[in-house]
Amino acid sequence: MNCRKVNQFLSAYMDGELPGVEHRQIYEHLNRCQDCQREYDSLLQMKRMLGSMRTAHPALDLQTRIAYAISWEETQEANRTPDMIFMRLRLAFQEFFVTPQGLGLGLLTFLGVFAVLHQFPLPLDRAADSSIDWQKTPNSISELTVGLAPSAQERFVLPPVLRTSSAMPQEIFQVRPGRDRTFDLIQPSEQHYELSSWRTR
Amino acid sequence: MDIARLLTGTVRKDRREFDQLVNKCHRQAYNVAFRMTGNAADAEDLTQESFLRAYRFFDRYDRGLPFENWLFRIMSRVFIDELRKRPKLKTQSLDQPLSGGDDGSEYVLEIPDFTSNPEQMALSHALEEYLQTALNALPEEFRVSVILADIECLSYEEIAELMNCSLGTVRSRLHRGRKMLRSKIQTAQHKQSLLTGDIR
Repeated sequence: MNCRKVNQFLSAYMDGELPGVEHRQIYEHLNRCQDCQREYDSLLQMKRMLGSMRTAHPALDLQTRIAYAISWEETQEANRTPDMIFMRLRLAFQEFFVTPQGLGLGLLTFLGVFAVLHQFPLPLDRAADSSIDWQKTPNSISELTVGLAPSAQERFVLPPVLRTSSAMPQEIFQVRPGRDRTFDLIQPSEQHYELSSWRTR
Repeated sequence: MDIARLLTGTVRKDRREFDQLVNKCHRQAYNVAFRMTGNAADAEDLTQESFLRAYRFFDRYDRGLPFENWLFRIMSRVFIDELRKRPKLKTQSLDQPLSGGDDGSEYVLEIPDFTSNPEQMALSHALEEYLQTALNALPEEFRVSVILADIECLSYEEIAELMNCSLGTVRSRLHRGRKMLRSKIQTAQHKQSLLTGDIR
């Protein structure tokens, strides 16, 4: 083993971290090479200087501060659990004199009214509604809607086929009075449409 | 493995056990942290942060291994990660005399002769400061390796495991780290000799 190779392994040799064969080779080399021996002594000196450094002592309250920091983190963790979230919400509501139950009931009522209004829209205006003779079979859409204000005409919900057509030919539909103020439009193919006085949108 | 761990994948953290470990290890941990950071304030922060993270992952700690080694693994990661986030610290040059006590006097560096008997060597306060300053100037991985090997006397295998690197890397970092330290100390010694006119 030459000096260069020995030099690479000096630290590991010094720490007793080399396998037996290499350890022995370096030991023998150091015995006959003064330069490498000096390098070894110098590194050993460095290692011993580091090992001789005084122990640094912490402040007396370091352990208490560590314990406090851990407890604080535990508290923060506990605050993130679902139970604590519910409790904090409840406290927040109480701040505004509202209980969660009250708020829930209010929301349900609002949603209920909204759903009813959306599902069952308001009827046509009264004047337009009264001008229609619901018991008489109309011959055409224009006859049905004659006398109605344009805005009221637009509110009729027409089957898709009629939306693109200006007239309502009797050849396509049989029209007859339906139930509850509606007209039934019956196609020969027995598809059934209902012409309603109630708008759905 | 107990049933709770099988079902939940975790074990309830035992605070009392952890507090006992803090009591047992915090001084040693602080000493290592002090050598890594080079000052008391950062050493306290590093110690506290390391214990906090250790507690966070305490359910993963393998009770068959020394707690100190596990803690040092966490500490070296925290140290290296945190240091890289910070801007470069201003380091004390070894060429400059250290400031002294309240009277404004300066320390005179008396480095023991490297050829003298190491057993009789006692580190002066000034030399210890120089050594710490030289340590602070080492790259982080080298510094941690040297501290763990020469101050904490861990084996190469332990260092490799806790720094997550190979034995060869540990060997190389230690060798180069010690040589860099020695070079810095010898340069300082030489310049001090020139300053005091004591040229051999």
